[in-house]
Amino acid sequence: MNPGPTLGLIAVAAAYTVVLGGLLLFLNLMASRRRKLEKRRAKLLEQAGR
Amino acid sequence: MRTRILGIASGAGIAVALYFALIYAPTEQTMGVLQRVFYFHLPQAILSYIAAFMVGFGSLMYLATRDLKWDRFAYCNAELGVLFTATTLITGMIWGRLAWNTWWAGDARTNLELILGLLYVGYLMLRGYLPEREKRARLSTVFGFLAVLDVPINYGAIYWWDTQHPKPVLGPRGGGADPDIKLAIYVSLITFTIVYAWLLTKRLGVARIEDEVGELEAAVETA
Repeated sequence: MNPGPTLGLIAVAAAYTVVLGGLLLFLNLMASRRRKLEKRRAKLLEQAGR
Repeated sequence: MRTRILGIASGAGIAVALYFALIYAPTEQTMGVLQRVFYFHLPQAILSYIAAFMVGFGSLMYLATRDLKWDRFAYCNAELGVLFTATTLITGMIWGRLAWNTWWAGDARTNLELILGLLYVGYLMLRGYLPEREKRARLSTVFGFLAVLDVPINYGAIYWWDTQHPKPVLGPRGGGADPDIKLAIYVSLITFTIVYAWLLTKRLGVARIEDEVGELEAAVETA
């Protein structure tokens, strides 16, 4: 039940990394998608304006 | 502006939550250091439930008003549901490997959490296959309502069936915990709720551009 301080600490570090890493991944994906969409929107607006 | 404030609050909140989880809270006697996984695991699990209610609310509002902004609201929450269910399951598996000597106990609570995650994935996959905007919004509500149905069963699973999952320590039926441990849990819960709100506003911003691009593409094609 109690794996001891070393293994416990490794597990805690791994779990917190998963949570914070997931958060960063999501933010990164959103930023990249936003950039692509803004480029596409600018291109389409240019096409629509012609 | 609102997104920026939420972003700053999220960053500061995470720093405070880490302090409470790693330094302020005392080491629990039975589990030792491993129990500290709980400070991040519990908020993820609660927010994975909240995502389901948000998807259900967005779906219901879409059906009532036929306003696509509610559909956007629903699917942005479904994406957050995938994220929070995944982090709940992975942190739970890390804990379970050391506490129960298995990555997957296969009890009702963990299985129902997995089903919740699969419902979010199903919701998003269904949307990917339906090109027509209104049809996509209408049909995907079914998965949204199924996710809502999963939550009370998931919550009740530890009372109704014989499961390995620990009983709650908070709330009226909670088993009780050291006040400092409870405070660390509340700090973490508030922090991740702010993080959820921040991610949602960011995702909704991207979703609005997605719809705009979709409309522009249709306009350019017909012109």
